[in-house]
Amino acid sequence: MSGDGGPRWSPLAVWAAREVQREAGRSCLLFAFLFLLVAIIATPMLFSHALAVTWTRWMEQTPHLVVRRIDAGGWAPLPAEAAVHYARKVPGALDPTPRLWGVATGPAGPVTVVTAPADLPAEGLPGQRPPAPGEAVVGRAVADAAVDNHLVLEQMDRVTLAIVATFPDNSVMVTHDLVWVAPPDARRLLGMLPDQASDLAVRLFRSESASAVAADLAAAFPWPVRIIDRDTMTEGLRRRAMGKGVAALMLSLPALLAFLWVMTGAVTGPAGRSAYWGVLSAMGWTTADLVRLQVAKALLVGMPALAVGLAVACGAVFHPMAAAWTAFLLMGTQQLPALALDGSGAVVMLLQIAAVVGLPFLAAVFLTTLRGVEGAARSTMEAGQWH
Amino acid sequence: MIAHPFTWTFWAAVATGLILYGAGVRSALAVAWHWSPGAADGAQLRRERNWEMACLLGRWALAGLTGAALLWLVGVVAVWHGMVPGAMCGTGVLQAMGGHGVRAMAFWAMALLALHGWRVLDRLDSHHPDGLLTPTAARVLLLAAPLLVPAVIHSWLALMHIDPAAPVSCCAAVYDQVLRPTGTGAMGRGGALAAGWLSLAGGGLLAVLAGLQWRCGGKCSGALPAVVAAGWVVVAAPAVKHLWSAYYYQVLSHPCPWCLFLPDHYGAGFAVYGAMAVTLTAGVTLWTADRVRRRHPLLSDAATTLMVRAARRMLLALLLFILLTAGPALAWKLRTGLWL
Repeated sequence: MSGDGGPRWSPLAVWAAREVQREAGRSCLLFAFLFLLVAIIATPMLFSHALAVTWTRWMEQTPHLVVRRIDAGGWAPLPAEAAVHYARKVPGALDPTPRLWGVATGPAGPVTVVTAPADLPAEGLPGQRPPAPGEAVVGRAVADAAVDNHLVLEQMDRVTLAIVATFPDNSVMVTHDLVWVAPPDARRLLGMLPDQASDLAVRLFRSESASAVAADLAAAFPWPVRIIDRDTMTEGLRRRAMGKGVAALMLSLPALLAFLWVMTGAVTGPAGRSAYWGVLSAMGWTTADLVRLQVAKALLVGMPALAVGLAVACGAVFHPMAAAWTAFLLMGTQQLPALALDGSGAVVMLLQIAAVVGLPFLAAVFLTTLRGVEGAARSTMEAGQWH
Repeated sequence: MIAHPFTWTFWAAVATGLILYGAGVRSALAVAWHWSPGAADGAQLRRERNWEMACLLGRWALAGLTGAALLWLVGVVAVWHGMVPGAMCGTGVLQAMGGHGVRAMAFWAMALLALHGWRVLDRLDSHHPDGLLTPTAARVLLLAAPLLVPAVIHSWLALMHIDPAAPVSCCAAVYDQVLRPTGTGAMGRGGALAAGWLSLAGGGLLAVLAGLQWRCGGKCSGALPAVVAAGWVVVAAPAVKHLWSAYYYQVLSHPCPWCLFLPDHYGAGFAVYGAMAVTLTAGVTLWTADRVRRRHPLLSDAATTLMVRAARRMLLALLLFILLTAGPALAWKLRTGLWL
């Protein structure tokens, strides 16, 4: 049948489509199972990828190096002018900028207080004027917890601020618990003198020189410092994000693939098919033709299931409302109102997920059919009187 | 190990191919040891049935394992370097893999060549109902196992060896070859030019042999183009690395074969090295089919047809190779009046 005049892929596909229609229940079962399998695997993988891309994008806006003064008690305020003076002596360290920020207690828990636009993501700033003393621009979680549009923060002192604006939703990952205040309010709140800073942000001419410049910077200051470089932090965040997806995949994949094997066997298996395959064989179909027929059927059901599963995963990751729930379920963090993730590279990721599920699925269909065809033929042959 | 989804895709393809290959080997074992074409007993009928299964499984396994090997190549040259600090191309990734990466590639190439040889025998075997080549084909199918196992083991070790926190020095590995001209893999200017000319001359000679094979309808010897193809690949690989790639990079002293795969250079490495791989596999086809033709006259027609197709494939691959290597060099010369 596979030679000249035999069914080629096109008539075989028609035959396969007819069989899919005849076995509507089994086909629907296989479709539902495959769709769920793809959605369950693709959602954490796609989420971790999107999270890693988004975090990397955010981190690109941060300084290459951050210098913090430390003492026996941990973090200590930095004398701003002296710190800039020492940092400027280090070749390759550009634009040393003292930053004023810290953590304070808000109405619903700890919040991060910042003072400079440079500490904020570009997405959080469009058209926003800096807050005047007594005013604050806040993240969504802080705004929800505020009473009468006023915010009370406590740290070294107690400060009451009027909320004048809220950061946009697309910056929620960074600004969720952020409070942007005027420097005088921050100093009062954090108990810092006018010439003190929380840390020193340093930009580099070449990011590859971070480790070398960090060593020079550490030697340049007369007090002990801790220096954090952006690349190490980005790598840590990326690994954390990817680790979530891989952990979810590693936990679920073996069980799901084993289940896939069993399901595929049950749906395409030889039970009750021997007679039918025997008829086709008697008509001249070869084993290869029977396998092709089963593979065509599997593709007819599997491809739409794969597409729908991937689409559901995309929705769960890239729709802001759904993404917030996905983040809550996967990361176990605070429930966010919405979460906008970067979709760069998602297509390649989807293709990889399709391959991870599709290849074992096709192999399962192929092997199950082959075993069924061979078993049917062998039992027929060995049960015959002539044997 | 690097926790990249591409790694899981690669392992999914490997697992799929290995399961199919393992099932095929199980069916082929009895065929290789107990094949008796004259017998008509139940055992021989079972063996014939098993062999049909083994062929089907082997074809799918070949597709799966070829896909896995391609994924490995794409991972090394275009994906994993993003996860290794300091790596900018496949050189850095292979550096991070220790020696296992290169060994894995070598074993993958050999295993796929063995499976390709089996596929040639399988195609010819299917042209006669007596299964004249069945025991040979079964043995060649089994022969791929000792190559596949180390390929998979070294792939695993290579990926486990990568430490995303440990930086590598991709450029240092390349420029050390230039700064230390006596080091391993180093090739002087004279050597590079000689390899370049030899690759062109060898390519030309192969093209003539393939053209003759095509013209005489597959009646010429297949052994000579096969041997020349194997030798040509040995010469062409360093020529691409040390000479032809410079016209893509537009700098001297950057003998890196892997940068050629990057999008910055239009992924030309895939086409250039792909043309070399096609030439080599066509050589294997010519050699195998020629031997079958001489030993089994009943399969002569099928072998001749296969040889003509292989010669045509080889010719096209060589044209592509020459176009992609000498072409940019000529364009550079016309544009600047100088050779690099």
